[in-house]
Amino acid sequence: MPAIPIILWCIVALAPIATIFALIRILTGPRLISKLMFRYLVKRRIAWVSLVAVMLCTAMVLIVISVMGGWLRMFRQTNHALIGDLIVYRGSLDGFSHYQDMIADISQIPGVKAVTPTVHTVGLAEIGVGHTPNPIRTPVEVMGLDIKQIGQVNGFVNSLHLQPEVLRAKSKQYAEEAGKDHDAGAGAADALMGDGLGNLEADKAKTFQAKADSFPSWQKPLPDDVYRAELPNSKTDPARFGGIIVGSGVIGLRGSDPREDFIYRAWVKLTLLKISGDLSGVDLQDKASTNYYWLIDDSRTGVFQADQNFVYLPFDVLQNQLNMGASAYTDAATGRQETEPARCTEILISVKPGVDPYAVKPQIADAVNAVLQKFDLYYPEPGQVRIETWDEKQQDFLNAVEHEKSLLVILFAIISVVAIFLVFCIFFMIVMEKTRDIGIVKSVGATSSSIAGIFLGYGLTIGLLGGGMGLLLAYLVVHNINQLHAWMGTHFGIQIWNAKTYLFDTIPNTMDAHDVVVIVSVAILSSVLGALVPAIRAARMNPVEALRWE
Amino acid sequence: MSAIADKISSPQAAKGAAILIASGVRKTFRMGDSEIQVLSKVDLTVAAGEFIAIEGRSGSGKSTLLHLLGALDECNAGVVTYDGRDIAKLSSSRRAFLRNTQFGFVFQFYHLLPELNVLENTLLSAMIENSLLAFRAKKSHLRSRAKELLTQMGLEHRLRHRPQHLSGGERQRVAIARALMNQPRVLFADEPTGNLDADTGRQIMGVLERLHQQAGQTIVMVTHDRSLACKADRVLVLEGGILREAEG
Repeated sequence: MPAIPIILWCIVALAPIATIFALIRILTGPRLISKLMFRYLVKRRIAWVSLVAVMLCTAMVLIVISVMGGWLRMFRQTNHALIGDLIVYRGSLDGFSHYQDMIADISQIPGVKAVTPTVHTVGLAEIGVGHTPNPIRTPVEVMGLDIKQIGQVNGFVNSLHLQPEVLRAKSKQYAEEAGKDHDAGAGAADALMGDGLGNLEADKAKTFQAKADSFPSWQKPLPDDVYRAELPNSKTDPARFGGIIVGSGVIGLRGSDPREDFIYRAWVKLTLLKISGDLSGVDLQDKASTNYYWLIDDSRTGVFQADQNFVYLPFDVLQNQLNMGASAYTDAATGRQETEPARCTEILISVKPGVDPYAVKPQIADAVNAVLQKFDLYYPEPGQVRIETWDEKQQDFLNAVEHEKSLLVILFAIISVVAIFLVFCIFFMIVMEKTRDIGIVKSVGATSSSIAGIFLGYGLTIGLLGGGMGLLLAYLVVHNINQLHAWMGTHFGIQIWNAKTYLFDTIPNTMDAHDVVVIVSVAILSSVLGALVPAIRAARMNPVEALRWE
Repeated sequence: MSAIADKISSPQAAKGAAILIASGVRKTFRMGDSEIQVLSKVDLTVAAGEFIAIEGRSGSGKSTLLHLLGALDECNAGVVTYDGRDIAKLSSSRRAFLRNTQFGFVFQFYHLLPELNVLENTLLSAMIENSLLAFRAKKSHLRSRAKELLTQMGLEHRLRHRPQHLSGGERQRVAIARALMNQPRVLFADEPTGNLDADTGRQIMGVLERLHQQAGQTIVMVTHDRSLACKADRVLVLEGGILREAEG
């Protein structure tokens, strides 16, 4: 039935034509059009119903689209920021070898900005302070990364709480507490270093300043003495424990509020799930898979699942813990000394500004496949090495949300049809009510197009005002949606947004300019379309019959 | 009332020259399956500066004839010419232009727009004639003309009032002011006193008479009241769809 879509498209096409006609008539047609249009708007209160309907429809759709589109945008941005532009990975915890060769080749590809390997596994974390009897025990995903390189590839470094300015502020604070009067900023601790005060506050000022100067780094923020004091009974020197970064949600931290330095005295006992050295399976016996670390920072990516579950270790530390580093062995068949190559689970890649990740993807695939062939590496399905862009990696999920958004657009179309019918009914009623006025105006010389202009302009005004008010209402709601949600939770116990379900702990509260333009335009066009038939009816009225209308 | 005459420019055609001619006009209305003939064969010549009264019983077709002469309706047969041009052959926008600039209408039921005040109702034809920008440019001139017309009608204290707050006589005077706003060559009055008491009706007739006598305004008035019709230069009777000169 191609006729139905054609008719529908014709109807849709009528809306902009009618809108342009109305605008032209208002601006160049008789003064009476704008006069009566606005006078009817003020005096005919029934039209306010359509105004409110347009406003509510616009606001409702804008709010829903903004939250949903905002969520999708946040999801995409956050995942892009977490992954980088492209990823080479293998769907198996034992990873793949010869990644250094792959990285060397990928780095040579024009358009590639930076490349870094990562290691992934899962583990059990115990987190406590001092000799607490009740540490937090939680399963975690563990990621090993090169903190100096990762900042070139993705936005992980920006997710850290202890940014240089925070570290310097803390350094300054401790310097002041140490009783010294120093200039603010970077030089505060440097000045202290030479004065031999040696007190704890001064040491803290130094360590925070050193961490700021080496940012980003795995350096611990507190002096060794603090760590030793925390675990005095430890068999090994606690100052030699490495540093670990935890997802902010793992230790129950929310938002970007200042953290108490107390949390940097927390120890993390991490037991890793590791694959045995011969890759024969999961190694549950190796005691070396359990280690202590000091919590040195927390990461808040905004992705609930990441912030709630991830902890981060230096790449080489985790790689060695998992026996994924290069190791020597004796080949049983030849008796020769061989080297087992190091492995990683992922290679993250960023491209230079303006370069399309899809454009370099085939070259990266060629480079990876060349290394796989060169070293005769064969990883059968489903554990083969894959090369994907960041959005392909999330494609299943993104597609599902995109489909939901499409469904919403269809619902919006239905709502628009309802609004059109509402405007149509109200305008039809107004035209019936104003039949005699139409006769009067025609008897005084108004043309049919002027009469049409009055009612189309009336519809346009309803659309402009309703759309504008809807935009304002939507802006106020979307802008304050987290406060509104919290208020509803406090007063009515209504909790609509669940961070576990929606991945982010805050509701998206920004509006997309493109969505706003489209939705408000559709609202205006819908109003004009609703007024079209009544306007044509009014224009076609015989003035004599209209004057005799009872 | 002489001031009215000053404010209304004299009709363009020489006094006595025919400006509106109806020849063999026939008008029928269809009511279901039946056809009602309202005007059988009407011939009428309206000369510039003439005051014609068309008398007839209710339902005789007086208003229908007025609508045909005023380019509000089209006849089934015959010709209505204005300045020698067949009105039926003009486009609907040209006919609208005629109604706006050449003709003025005063109706029995006043037909004022309730959303507009007295001044705005008077400015109606000017608001139709001028675009948004043109009206803005001429606003002060147009408003002063409308105010002067309303002052001559004794309504200077009612400028901001809505029609629903006026008496019948006041409404009709507003309607006359509105009809005169664009200086029409022909003023059509359809039972202008039909909805008014005798005293007020006389006042309105006085206004029309003065318009005719002092400003030479061409007026075609229909009425069922012989005493009012007698005020005109020429009285015609519409009976059985035929227009004839009144006896006596």
